[in-house]
Amino acid sequence: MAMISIENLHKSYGSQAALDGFSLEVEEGELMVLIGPSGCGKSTLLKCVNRMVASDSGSIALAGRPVTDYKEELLRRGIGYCIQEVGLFPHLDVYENIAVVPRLLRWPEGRIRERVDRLIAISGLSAGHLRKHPRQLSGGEAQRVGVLRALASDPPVLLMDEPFGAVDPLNRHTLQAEFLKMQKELKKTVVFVTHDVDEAILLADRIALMEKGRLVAVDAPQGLEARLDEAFIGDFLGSEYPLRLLGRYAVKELGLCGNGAEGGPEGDALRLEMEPGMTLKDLLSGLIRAEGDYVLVTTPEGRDIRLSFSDIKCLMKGARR
Amino acid sequence: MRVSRSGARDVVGYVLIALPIVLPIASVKANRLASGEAVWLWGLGWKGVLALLAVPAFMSLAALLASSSRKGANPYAILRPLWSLMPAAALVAVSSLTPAAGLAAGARYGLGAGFWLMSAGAVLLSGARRVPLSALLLLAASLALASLSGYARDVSLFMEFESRKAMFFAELSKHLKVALLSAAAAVLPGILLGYWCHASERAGRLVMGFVNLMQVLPTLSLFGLIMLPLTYVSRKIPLLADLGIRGIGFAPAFIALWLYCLLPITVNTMAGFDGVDQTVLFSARAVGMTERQSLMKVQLPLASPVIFSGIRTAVAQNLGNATIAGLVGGGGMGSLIFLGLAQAAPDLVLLGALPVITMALVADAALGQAERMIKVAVLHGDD
Amino acid sequence: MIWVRRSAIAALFILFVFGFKYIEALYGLFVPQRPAIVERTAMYVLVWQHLVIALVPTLAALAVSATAGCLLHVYGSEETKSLAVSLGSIGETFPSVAIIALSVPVLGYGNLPCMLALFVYAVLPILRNTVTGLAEVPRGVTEAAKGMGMDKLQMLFKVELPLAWPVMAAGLRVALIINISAATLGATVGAGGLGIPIVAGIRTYDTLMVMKGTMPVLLMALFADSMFAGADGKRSRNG
Repeated sequence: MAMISIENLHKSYGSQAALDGFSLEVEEGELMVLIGPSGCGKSTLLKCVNRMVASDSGSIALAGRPVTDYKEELLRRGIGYCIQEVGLFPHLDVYENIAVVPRLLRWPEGRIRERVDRLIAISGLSAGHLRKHPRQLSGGEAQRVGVLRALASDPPVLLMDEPFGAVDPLNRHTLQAEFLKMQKELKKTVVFVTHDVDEAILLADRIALMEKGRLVAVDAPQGLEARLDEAFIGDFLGSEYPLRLLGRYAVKELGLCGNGAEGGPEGDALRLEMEPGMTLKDLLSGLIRAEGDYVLVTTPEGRDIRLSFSDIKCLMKGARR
Repeated sequence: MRVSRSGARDVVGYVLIALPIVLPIASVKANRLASGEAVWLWGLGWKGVLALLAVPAFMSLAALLASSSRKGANPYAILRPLWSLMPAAALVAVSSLTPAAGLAAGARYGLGAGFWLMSAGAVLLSGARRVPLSALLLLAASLALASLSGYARDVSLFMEFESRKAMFFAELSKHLKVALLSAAAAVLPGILLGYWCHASERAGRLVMGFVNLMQVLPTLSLFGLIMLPLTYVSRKIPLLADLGIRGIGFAPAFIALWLYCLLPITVNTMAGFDGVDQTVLFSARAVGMTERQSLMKVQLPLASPVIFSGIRTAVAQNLGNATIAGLVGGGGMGSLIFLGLAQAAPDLVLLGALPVITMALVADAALGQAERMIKVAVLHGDD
Repeated sequence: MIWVRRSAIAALFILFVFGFKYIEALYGLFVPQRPAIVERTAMYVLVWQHLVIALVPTLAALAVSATAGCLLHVYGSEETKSLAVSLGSIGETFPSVAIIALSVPVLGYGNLPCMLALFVYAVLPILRNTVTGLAEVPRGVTEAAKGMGMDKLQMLFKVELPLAWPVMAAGLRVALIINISAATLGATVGAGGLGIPIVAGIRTYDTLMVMKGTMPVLLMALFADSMFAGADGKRSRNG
């Protein structure tokens, strides 16, 4: 049974239809990225799940039970929610901000303390941040606190509405990487809204593409590549989608040593150090820069491996299996 | 002086302090009602001039020393409140005018324009940006000490005070009672009303219209218009009369002042709640707070500095308006003022007016300090 | 719409000032006995006195504050401006009765102490609004003016003042309305104006007398308020 089942959801504002028969199933532990042009209804959809907005018709069920079964406040205490503006409470310090929902749930003080400590440990923040106040935090720090606040009561579901949108690009990468790491450990069911295709490619288990209040396509990122010929999908994802997709595959994970020839003529060959976080995209970039049609990669053990374009395609196919 | 960073304020202060050079510092009056003969700075004799120059000399020394020291706390800034000792010093200076044999019977000193303006300048200099509470306390303490030690014995203002001590304190307590009680009684209703105006657009417009009307209505009229209905009601319901609620006296003054207090508290409460960031409100709902929890845990704390500012305005305003209570038999410093006006005795008027002004200023300064503390406590920063 | 409002106010005003005996008759139907009052001054004289007492200091404050505000804006630093504003706000904390009473020894009884107090009270709102209004003129506009070759004075008169005028007018409006109602306090120190019937009414427990003085004051203030509403094109404060 899917964790989140959305069936035929409709929502209009006056004559404008924000959601026009939207249906989707999100599996437990899956990070579903909802993507689409602005005004396609993705934020509205999210707000319907935690009933910040009341839908006109259709149903949403969490773990089989319709969301309308619960009282609004109780439902929301069981769902984590992050927004772009973060919305931390200015009069509370970081600790109290994170502890908001546990307090509403009347957790004992010791349990709250433990939980906050654990969350701080897996985030990019330090214990020194706990006594600070929102106005003393940078944009990135504030958003991290926002994510921790959403996770505080250990909800099964996390809703995130362009959480990293207001952060500068450098910080954004850091936040994305941290979040990915957290998600690998916590395995929450996440619905993540963004308009940034690269972010979707990086984070998603599956991508759901929306247009004008309806679901157009839902698949793993590499699955959508096959449908690039379809008008809207091709327009939105862009013709360079396959290229960007390469950024998803880390070189280390693909077992570099199984491909490519060892050693080879040096001199005018381009040499790359294999660094953590290196992706197939970086390899391709190196290839483009290289004089010849291969690139030399030095593994951490010190071996040199020659990679040409066909090697890269081979690595890619291997990753998709 | 290069030491201070509030140059313009200091310039004004220094100019005012220097005024006794050109304005009379005191006057000799033959009796209570006569206007006096001016006394100038040089007429004070060396003892008086010394007393007068003591504080400025000390402070100049401190300033010079401070400008030569480099790091660390600025000693001049710490010593600043000492400027408020000048009025008491001036009193001592004036008292040096008394000849060894004492003044003629009924004769006394009035305090001249030079004295008042110099005192104003001293108070101005006692703080870099605002008059600190410590300076006001120092001022009160030094004046009290000076008068208790008898230095003010021959100053007409104090003679007036001496002869009317009982009345003074009686009216002072009535004044404080009616002003502070009515303000306290208006806090809760004002906050509730203000929240209602914030929640309901219609109510907001209605109440704002009423508030504007109240601001336009002359204070005198409000006091007057309460009297008759109150008299009527108290005659019809003997219980009220037994409780002491009658058409004149404490009751109409209390009611009128209470109504005047509602205004700033209501308006500020409404503004405070209106000013809570929409995103924060959204967050409160999104984490699963009920409307009530959102109100108590988020909106009220965030609105509290503005609400408190309204309370502060109400209290300062009340301390001033309570003066008019004297017209409806409510007592207070107004009784002294109106009595003095009727008798054409300027000292009695002064005796009534000065405490009112002082109380309003002190309340404003003290509550302003409290307001800043609330802001820091809630928002953890001083905007 | 605004003219309907103004005519209504004017009509009521005329009724209260010139036709008060009708109101008295109406009142007499409900409240049988009233102490007989001997009126020494006609209402329209009182109204005139009141207008003088209220308007003269307000206009004087306008002249002084506007000039001071302009000077502060052109020559003053941030610091002097905030000093001026905070000195003015001390004036606002001083209770009006106290100021009036304190001026009596200096200015004697009558209209002058009241007018001095009203002057002091009008200074702050106008000064504060002048300083703020001039400061809020968008930088882009002043830069453009400077670029065109205007000197400071020309910029002040041709660009900044016209743009700051709505804010200044708001300050003048506040000062004027407060002064119209505060002028009633003058009666306690022997000034003329509509405070006289109010105080007389208080002393003799005569509500009608109080109303006789109050209504014209209220109507004048409302009328003044609506004058400003027309002037800056916005609705009046009272909605």
